Amino acid sequence: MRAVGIGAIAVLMAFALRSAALSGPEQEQASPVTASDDLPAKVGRVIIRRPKSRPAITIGTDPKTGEPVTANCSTCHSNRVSDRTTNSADQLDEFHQGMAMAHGGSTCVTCHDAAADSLRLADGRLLPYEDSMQLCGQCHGPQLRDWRHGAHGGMAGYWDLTKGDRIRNHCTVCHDPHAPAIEQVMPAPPPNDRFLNSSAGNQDHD
Amino acid sequence: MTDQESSGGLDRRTAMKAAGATLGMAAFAKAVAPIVEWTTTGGSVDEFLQKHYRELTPDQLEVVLRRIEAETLEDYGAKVTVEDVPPLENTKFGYALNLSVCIGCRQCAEACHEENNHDRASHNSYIRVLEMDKGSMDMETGRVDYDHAVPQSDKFYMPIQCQQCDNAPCVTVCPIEATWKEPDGIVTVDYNWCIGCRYCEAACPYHARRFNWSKPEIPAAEINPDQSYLSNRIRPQGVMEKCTFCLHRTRKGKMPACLEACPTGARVFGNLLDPDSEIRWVLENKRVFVLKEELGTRPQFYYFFDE
Repeated sequence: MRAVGIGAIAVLMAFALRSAALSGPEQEQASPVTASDDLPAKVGRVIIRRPKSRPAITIGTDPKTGEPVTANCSTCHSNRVSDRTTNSADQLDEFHQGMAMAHGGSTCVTCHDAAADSLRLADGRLLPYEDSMQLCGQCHGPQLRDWRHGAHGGMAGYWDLTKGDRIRNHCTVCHDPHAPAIEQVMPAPPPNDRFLNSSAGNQDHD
Repeated sequence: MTDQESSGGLDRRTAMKAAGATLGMAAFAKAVAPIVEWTTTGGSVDEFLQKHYRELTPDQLEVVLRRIEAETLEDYGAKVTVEDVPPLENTKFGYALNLSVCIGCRQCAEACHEENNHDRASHNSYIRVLEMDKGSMDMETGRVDYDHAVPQSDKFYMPIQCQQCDNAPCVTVCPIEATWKEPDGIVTVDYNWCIGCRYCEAACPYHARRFNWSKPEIPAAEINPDQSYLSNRIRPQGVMEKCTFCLHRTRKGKMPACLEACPTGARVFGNLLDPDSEIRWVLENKRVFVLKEELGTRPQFYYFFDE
């Protein structure tokens, strides 16, 4: 099995380089989506920062250029049968190791059809990666509903679409699909308030 | 008498006149000294004589805007554009904030700090984020000076800024009408008309108004050059300031800076008069509430939890 994997890597080294610049499903890609027809004539677009259509993993480094070499899912998975019970990277002998997996009780095949370079819905239908919101919405219906009404997910640009475009985040911009909980961050500094603490200086307020 | 004057001597009357005139001049100089001092340090005579924003003719307003641009260049070394952005027709702004997804990262406050040209030393912002105990709505116990990783599992985070009240106590108490509510619902301040009495700060139940204790200090390179008269131009010392829902952006159709900065999408902004707007969907489908409803201020800023 390992030999087959290494062989596949060797064969693919050459043309995998073409997609070397792309890495991971969180790649941002702006794809215009036309808004509904009943808006005024000059309609701004809602641009969704979708994941890219075919993710790839890094399988090595080009010895000449030092560039990472990547391979698409089907490169290896078209001739390997996925273990349907795998639900943690710890259970893997090679590849995808170290990947955090904390998404309910999901296994890899809950969402992926690696041989087809595709996602897979619960009913078995294949789904391109750029439409992954539909997959997330199978379980996270309220969030999908809120997103559709502009009440979930960050955005930027114009609130008034008659004046300009709006850029909207996709699920995977903020959530790692394999460990979707938002992690803790350090906040921006607090206000240096003259009334809050003495270190801020209280000399003008006697 | 004439003989004496012509001979160069001084009689008592003349001496008294001269002494009186000298004393009068000195007293007058002393009396006007504060104004002279103020005009050389704090502002121009033109500014002192400037009319209220709402009484300025378009021509006069144009002169004022150009003067402020010139003063900013002189005082701060920054080339800026100060516009007058009028309210939009058929628009009333509303804002909603989802407390279930806010993580308290203060990115909104930081974006406000930069967008609105706040004083760097005080690290001022129109937004304060309260860290509150889950299960409590007691804002007295909320903390704004937390400085640890967020979100903490036993806390929730409540950003508070101007609630743009329909019945705004700050507007009512202003003795000189330096603050008022615009047709699109935004409560604005004419910084040049404000006398800095701070009645509005005392009247606001949300601590949404701040006083410029000192002249704001901002490095020229950090000054946001896209400014407007009623919002983010650099405020003079000794006047009140407040959130204007970034009217220099929102009246041109853009999102407020705090919304664009929010990494969790907790903020929803839009036109309350548009039945298809996102803000209307939130008001109609989420269990929204306003802060201190019992005071009757009728805020146009709404909070909600997902469940």
